[in-house]
Amino acid sequence: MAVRPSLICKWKLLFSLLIVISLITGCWDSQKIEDLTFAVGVGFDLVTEENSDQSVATASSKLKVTYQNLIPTQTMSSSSSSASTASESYHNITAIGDSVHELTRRVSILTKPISGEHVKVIVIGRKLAEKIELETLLNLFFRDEEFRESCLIFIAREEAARILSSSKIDIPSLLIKSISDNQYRSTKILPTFTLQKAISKLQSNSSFILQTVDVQEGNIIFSGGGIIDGKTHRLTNFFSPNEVQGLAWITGHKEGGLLTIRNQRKETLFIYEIARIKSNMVARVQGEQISFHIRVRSTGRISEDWRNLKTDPKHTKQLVHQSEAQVTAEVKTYLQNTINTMQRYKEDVANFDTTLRIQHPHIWHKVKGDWNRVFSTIPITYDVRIQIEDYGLENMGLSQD
Amino acid sequence: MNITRMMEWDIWGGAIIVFAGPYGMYLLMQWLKQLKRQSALSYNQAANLHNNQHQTLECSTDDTASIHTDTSDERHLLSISSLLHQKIDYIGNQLGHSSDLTVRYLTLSDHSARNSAILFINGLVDEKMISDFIISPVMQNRDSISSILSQQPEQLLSTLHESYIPICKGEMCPSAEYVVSKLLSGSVALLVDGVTETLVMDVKSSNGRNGEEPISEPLVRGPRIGFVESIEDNISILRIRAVDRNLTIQPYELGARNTTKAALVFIRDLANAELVAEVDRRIQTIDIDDLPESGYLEQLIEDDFLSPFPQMQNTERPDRVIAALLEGRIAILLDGTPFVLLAPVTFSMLLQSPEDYYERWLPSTLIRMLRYLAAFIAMFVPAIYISFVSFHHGMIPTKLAVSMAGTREGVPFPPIVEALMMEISIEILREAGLRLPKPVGQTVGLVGGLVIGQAAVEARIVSPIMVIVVALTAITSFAIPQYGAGMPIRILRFVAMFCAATFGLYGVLLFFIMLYTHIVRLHSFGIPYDSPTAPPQAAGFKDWKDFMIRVPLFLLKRRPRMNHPQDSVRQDPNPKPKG
Repeated sequence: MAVRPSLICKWKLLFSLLIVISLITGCWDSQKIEDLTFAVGVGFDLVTEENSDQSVATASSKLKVTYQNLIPTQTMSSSSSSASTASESYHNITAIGDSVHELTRRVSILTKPISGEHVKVIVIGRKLAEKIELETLLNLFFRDEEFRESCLIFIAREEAARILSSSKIDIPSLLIKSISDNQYRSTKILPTFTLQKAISKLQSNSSFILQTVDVQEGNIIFSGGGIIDGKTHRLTNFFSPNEVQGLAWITGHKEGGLLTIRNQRKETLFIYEIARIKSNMVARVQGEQISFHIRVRSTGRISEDWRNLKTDPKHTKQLVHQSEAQVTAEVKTYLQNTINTMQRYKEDVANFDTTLRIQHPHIWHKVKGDWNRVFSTIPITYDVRIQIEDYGLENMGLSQD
Repeated sequence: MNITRMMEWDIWGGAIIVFAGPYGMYLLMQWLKQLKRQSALSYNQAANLHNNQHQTLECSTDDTASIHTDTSDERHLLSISSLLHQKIDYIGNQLGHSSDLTVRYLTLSDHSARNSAILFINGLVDEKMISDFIISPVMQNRDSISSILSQQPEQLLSTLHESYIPICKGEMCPSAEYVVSKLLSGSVALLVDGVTETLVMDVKSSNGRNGEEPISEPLVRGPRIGFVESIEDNISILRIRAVDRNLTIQPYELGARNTTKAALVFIRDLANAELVAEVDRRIQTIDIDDLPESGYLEQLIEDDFLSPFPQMQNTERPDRVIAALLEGRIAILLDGTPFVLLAPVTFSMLLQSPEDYYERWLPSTLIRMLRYLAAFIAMFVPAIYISFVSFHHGMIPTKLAVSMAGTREGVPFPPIVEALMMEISIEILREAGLRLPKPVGQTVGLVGGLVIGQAAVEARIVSPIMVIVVALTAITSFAIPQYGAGMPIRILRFVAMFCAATFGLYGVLLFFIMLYTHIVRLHSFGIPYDSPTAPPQAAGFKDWKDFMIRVPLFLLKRRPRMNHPQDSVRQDPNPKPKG
C-alpha cells in the first residue's frame, strides 16, 4: 500500500533496463539453418593452362578451390516432384584465386554462406601438393575454428575437382569418407589421416604419407599413398598399393586385411586373412652405427583355399606349418619392398624417427637435422612370425591333428 | 595481454548482459519480496486496532472450541472417580488427545453422576448404532443397571453385554492398552467407574461417499481409493490404513467467516518436532475469511511465493499420504476438498509415484529414470532445437542437418517464432481439453494435435521437425506423475526457449545455472528443495538409494535422512536369519 515512491521509481528503472538489455541482444549471432550451405568436401587444385577457364583467372591466380555442397532434401515437396530432385544431391562450387580464405569469400558471392562445420574431407590435387607447401595450404583450416580437426586429408592422383565430381548419385566426399572407414578390411588402405595429425606432423617436420584417391571409369578408388616430405612439406613421391601393404606390416596396429599367397606360376594358393598384426621396432646403436630391427607378429586364418586339398588328417599340422612359412615369405617380400622404396626415396614414413627418439634420444639429437638422409643408409632387419590359429577346415576332416 | 580484444565492444556487451541478466533477476525478486513485506507491514499498522479486536474475538471462539473443553473436561473428571479418569486419560494420552476421540459420559447410578463413559473415534464408528443399541437400552434400564452396579459391580459389564446391549461383537478387556488398539480399528469402549474391565464392542461404520480412484493420479497398480470432501471421512480413511496409535491429528479451525476444519496429521514419534512446530506456527498465522480449497492454505504458508516450483505436494491418494507420514513428513487436511497437502517436499519427490514402491525395484528404477529424462526433455528440448537450428549447425549430424535445412526451407518464421507458436497452441489445446467434458476433450486433443499440426506443416508455417519437438514435449510433460509438478516445467520451458533464441546453447546453459541456483537456495519447510543432491553433507549419499534409482526394499532399512525423522529405522537393520 505505502511503498515509498522513490523506491518504486528506482526499481521500475532497473526493471525496464533489464528488459531493454535483454531485448537489444536480439538473436545474437543467430543464423538460420536453411540459409546455410553445408560443405562436406573441399578440393584444391593448381590452375594450369588447360583447366584455367574463363575470365576469373588472372595472372596471379594459381589456386582453384572446389566446395562440395549438399543440397537439402526437400521432404515436404510431394513425392512425384521429389523423384526428379533425387538424382542430384550435391553441387560443386569452384573459384579461382590466390589464397584459400579469399576463395572462400569469393565462393560466398556465388552461393549462400558456407558452413564449414560439416566438412569431412579435404582433397589436394597432385600438382598443387608438389608445388605449394602443405602448411601454407592448410593454414586456414588450422586457424579457423569452424573447420573440424577431424576432417580427413587425401591426395588426388590427378585433379581434386574431378574426384569431387566423379559420381552423380553418391556424394563423392561422403563416399571417400566411408571407403576410408573400410581400412580395417584391407591393408591397402592407409589409416585415416586427420587434419589434427597433419598439424602435428608438419610441426615436427617429419615425413608422412597420405592416402591417394583416383577416379577410374567414374569410380573412386584408393590407390597407394602420397609421401609428403618432412623438410619441404611438399608431395615428393607415391607409394604403390603393394608398398602401402608393406607399410602396414611395418607399423603394425592393423586389424583385418587379406594377403594372397601365390606360387611361382602366379596361381593363387590361399588367402591369409589377418586377424591382428603386431610389430615392434627396436633401434640398436653401436657406436655411431644405428640399425633397426622390426619384429612382426601376426595371427590370422585361412579364409579361402585354392589348393587341391586331399591331405590326410595326419598331415594337417604339417600343412599349417607349410602355409605359415609361405605367408612369412610373402610378408618378408612386402616388408623388403617397402623398406627399399622408403630408403630409395629417402623418406621415413613408418615412424622410425619416433622409435629412435624415444629409445635413444641422444643419438636422435645428433641425426635429427639430416634424418631422411641418415635413414636411407640405416640397415633394417626384421623377423616375421605368422600364426594361423584357425584354418576353417572342420568340414574337410582336417581339424583333428 | 590482448589489448585489441579488450577494446571490442561486443565482448563487453556480452559480459554486461551476462552479469546484468541474473543480477537484475535477483534485484527484481528482492523488490517483489520487499513489496510483499511492506504491504503486510502497512496493513498491520493501518488495521492495528481492527486487528486487535479481531484477534480477541478469535481467541474467545478458540477457547470455546478446543482449549477450554479440555480444562472443563478435567474439572468434571475430578469429580468422577479417579479410576475412570485415569483410564480415559491414559487412552487420550495414547492417542495424542486427537480431536476425533470422543468421550460420551453416562450416569448409571443414582449416587454418582457421570460414572460411566463411552469412548470411540469419530468417523470410524456408526454413531446411530451407538445411540440406538448402546445408549438407549442402557438409559431405559437405568434402574436395574444401577442396582446391579451397587450390588455386584464386577458382574455389571458381562450382564450388560449379555442382557441389555444388542450388539453382536463384544468382549471384555482387562488392559487399557488393548482398548486403544480396538478403538483405532472402529470399536466403541464402555467404561464404568469401579469396574477394572472394559467392554469393547465393534460398531465399525461404512463411510458415506466412497472414495473413488483419483482422476488426477491414476495408478496401474495400487489401491483404488481416494480422499473425499469430508475431513472426518478423510481422517477415518487414514485411520483405517494407518493403525499406528502415534498417528496424531491436530485440529484447526481456519477462516474468519466461513470457519473450515483443518487438521495437521503427523506421526508423533516420527515426524521432526521442529517441522511440526513450524507448520503449526505458519497455520496459526493464517487470517483469511474463507478457505475453499487446500490450494489457499498452500499459498498462504509456502516459503517462496516467487518460485515456480511448488513447495508443498498435493495428493488425493491416501497411500501417498501414509507413505509420506511414515517418511517423517506431515500432512494437512482441509474440510471440503479431497486434496491433502504434504510437506516438506523436494524436487525428487515430485517425480516419484507410489507405484515406484509397489512394483519391483527394476521396473521402478527404469520408470523413475524415464521420468527424469522426461522432465529434462519437456523443459529443454524446444530450447535445444532452437539453439541447434539457429546457432550450432555443426553439432547436428551432417545428414540430419541437411534434412533439417530441407524441412525448414520455405518456413517464413525464425525458429523461435515457430517454436512459440506451436508451444503456445499446444498449451492452449491442453487447457481447452481439460475444461471440456471428457469425451469431447479427447476429440479436441486429437483434432487439434493432428489436424492443426498437419495443416501447419503442409501450409509451410512450421517445419515437421518442430511438430515432432512440440509433440515430444507435450507427451513427456504428461509423464510427470502429478499435475502440479508439471507446471514449473511448462512455465520454465518458455524461458529456456527465449534464452536459446538469444544466446544459443550458451544461453540455455546460463538459464540452467540460474535455475539451479534458485533450486539450491529454495527451501520447503526447512528442507533444501534439492535434497538429497544438495547439500550433500546433510544426508550423505544414503538417501540416493531412493532418488534416481529405487533400490530393492530390503536395502531401504532407514527412512530418508533429509526429513530428519525422530525414528530413523524402517526395517530392523540386523534381521534374524530366515528359517
